Amino acid sequence: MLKVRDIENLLQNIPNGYLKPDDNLFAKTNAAIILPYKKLGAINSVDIDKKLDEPDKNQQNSSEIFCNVFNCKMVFDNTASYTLHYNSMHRFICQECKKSLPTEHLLDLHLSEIHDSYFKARLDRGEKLYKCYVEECKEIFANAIERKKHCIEEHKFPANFRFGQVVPTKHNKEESKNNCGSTGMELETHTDTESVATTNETSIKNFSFGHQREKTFQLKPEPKTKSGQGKGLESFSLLKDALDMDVSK
Amino acid sequence: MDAAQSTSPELSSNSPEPKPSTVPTQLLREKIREYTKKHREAIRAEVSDSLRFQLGEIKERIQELDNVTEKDVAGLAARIKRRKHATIEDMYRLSHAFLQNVANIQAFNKIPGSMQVLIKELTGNDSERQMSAAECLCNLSLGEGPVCEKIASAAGSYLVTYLHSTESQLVRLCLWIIANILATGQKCASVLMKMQLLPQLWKMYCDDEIADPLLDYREDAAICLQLMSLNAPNLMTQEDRNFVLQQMADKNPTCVAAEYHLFIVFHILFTEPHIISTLYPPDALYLLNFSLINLNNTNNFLTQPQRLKILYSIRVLGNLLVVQPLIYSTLLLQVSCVWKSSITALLNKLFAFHNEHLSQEALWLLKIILHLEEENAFMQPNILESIHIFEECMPFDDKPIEEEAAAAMAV
Ligand SMILES: [Zn+2]
Ligand SMILES: [Zn+2]
Ligand SMILES: [Zn+2]
Repeated sequence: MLKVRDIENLLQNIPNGYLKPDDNLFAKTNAAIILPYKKLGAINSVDIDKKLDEPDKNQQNSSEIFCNVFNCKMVFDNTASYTLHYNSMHRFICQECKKSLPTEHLLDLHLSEIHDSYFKARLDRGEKLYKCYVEECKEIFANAIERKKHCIEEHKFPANFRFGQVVPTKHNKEESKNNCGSTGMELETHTDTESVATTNETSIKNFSFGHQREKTFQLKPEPKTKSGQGKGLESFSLLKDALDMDVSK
Repeated sequence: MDAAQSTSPELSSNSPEPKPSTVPTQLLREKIREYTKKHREAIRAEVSDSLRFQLGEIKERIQELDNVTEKDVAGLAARIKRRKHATIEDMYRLSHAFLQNVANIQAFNKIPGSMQVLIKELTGNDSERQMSAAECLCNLSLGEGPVCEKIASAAGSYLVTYLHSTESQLVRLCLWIIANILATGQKCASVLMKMQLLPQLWKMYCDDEIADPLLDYREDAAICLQLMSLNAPNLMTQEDRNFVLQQMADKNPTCVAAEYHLFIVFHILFTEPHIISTLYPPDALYLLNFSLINLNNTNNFLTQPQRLKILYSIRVLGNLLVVQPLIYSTLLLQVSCVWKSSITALLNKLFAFHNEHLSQEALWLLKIILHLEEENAFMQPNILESIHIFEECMPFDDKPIEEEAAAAMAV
């Protein structure tokens, strides 16, 4: 055990007062006894045999699940891959035009900008209403072009950001006039399933999606040849038997 | 979206159609499955569908996987580029190839436009291909700076968007890719930092109302925040710092991934002493209590979480006492009333872990406390006499530093 005098001697070599995070004392400790982060890749490990043993597979061995969301023709051979499909493709779907968006925030933007007539009215009064695509960013813009410019310049988004909103034609024209030559950007003009807002007054914003999974897929008793897309898919299912190899030690 | 950017002529058009590589994909899957089965008992059950490997590690662990060559990769890359589409098989093979070595990653990166095809699949409307593409990008992010910069600028906006997805495995893969990018370097980290990544990660990290373990991203988000605070504190905006300052007290000290909290807060906020000296009293008290909980409830200094908890509690507490000396009386009160202990007992606990690095930092804390005792003139007369430090855990000047570090590593 160290004597008081020994401790006092030790203390003389210890730095005084406030030490910033990059101080030598802390850096030395971290280098010696804190494991640095090791980059890790990932490989799917879902046990296909195990998946085949799932109860729902035993009961309905030859069943197929058809996604009945509007215009979707996907077929699945198990609930796990259907769930995956549903969660990533149909969770945030516009009831009005059936466009599927990847997140709630982007669906919100879509609903107000494309289908909400009140939005249009406020816009015509000159209000700034276009919210940033980045959910955590609180910036709001007068038009879609300014927002796009902001996303490219401030958030380093690609110019062809895939989930950008199609701007209603009328506003496109106005904005193009206003911004003519100021930016080299093109408007997103793909019009696949988008429809320009109607005068419909329904408050779409408050709709609840309420998509019941049970009602969504139909179990067919007869085996059927799978469609090309569904064939040979080895699903990344939601099974919990896959194990994580944390080998960073 | 990809066609315009893939016009560089050199490699792409004349790459030969890939010969099917010697290892059938089915065998790759078989091997992964066997491996998973064999190690099931050894590994803790996980919510994720993925095995995680470091670069090159898969070859050591699973035999017969060494046949996906750079040539195969170049062929696959050229093919997906030409078809503007990648199948699940293509991406599964690429995933394996990237896990194997950095040469395969570079071979892929050399084919212009090939990464755009992966991003197209990531954002497309086939969820299984989306997942394969995310996995592929995750393994691609094992590469060095240039390839990670490319991923950050081409895919970053989607990675950040998908953090709000309802598909848990996709969210997780995005977090893993983001972590790899943040770990790679400031240049690629800076792109992601511009996408409001910090507040988004913070919310995932502090969210304690999780309905399903599948949706628990706290640990993965914590790792991202830790990397961000360690590698890129200079890239943080004033807005980011203010956000952390305001939301600091959101993390419950007893919840999942709480061991990262003081680390993150320390590296983000303690860079500026004036921030700490002007902390609001409730925030200062929160940090004080968080530290005391860590110090009192951690009874070993062996694992990474234990070490993080103990070390960062000392660092936070020490600095807090330096710039807010008035909080010292609160500390003494908490230690005696809440923890039924004393400040010397707390310090002795630290010295008793017999770790010389830890002891150095505990001495720093002791020095600060001695100073406060003097200042306040309520010097407990024999505070040093009650301190128990064992000789063998203190380094002495004749011992070279390298030796010290090696000894500590061996523990
Ligand atoms: Zn569908
Ligand atoms: Zn719509
Ligand atoms: Zn923004």
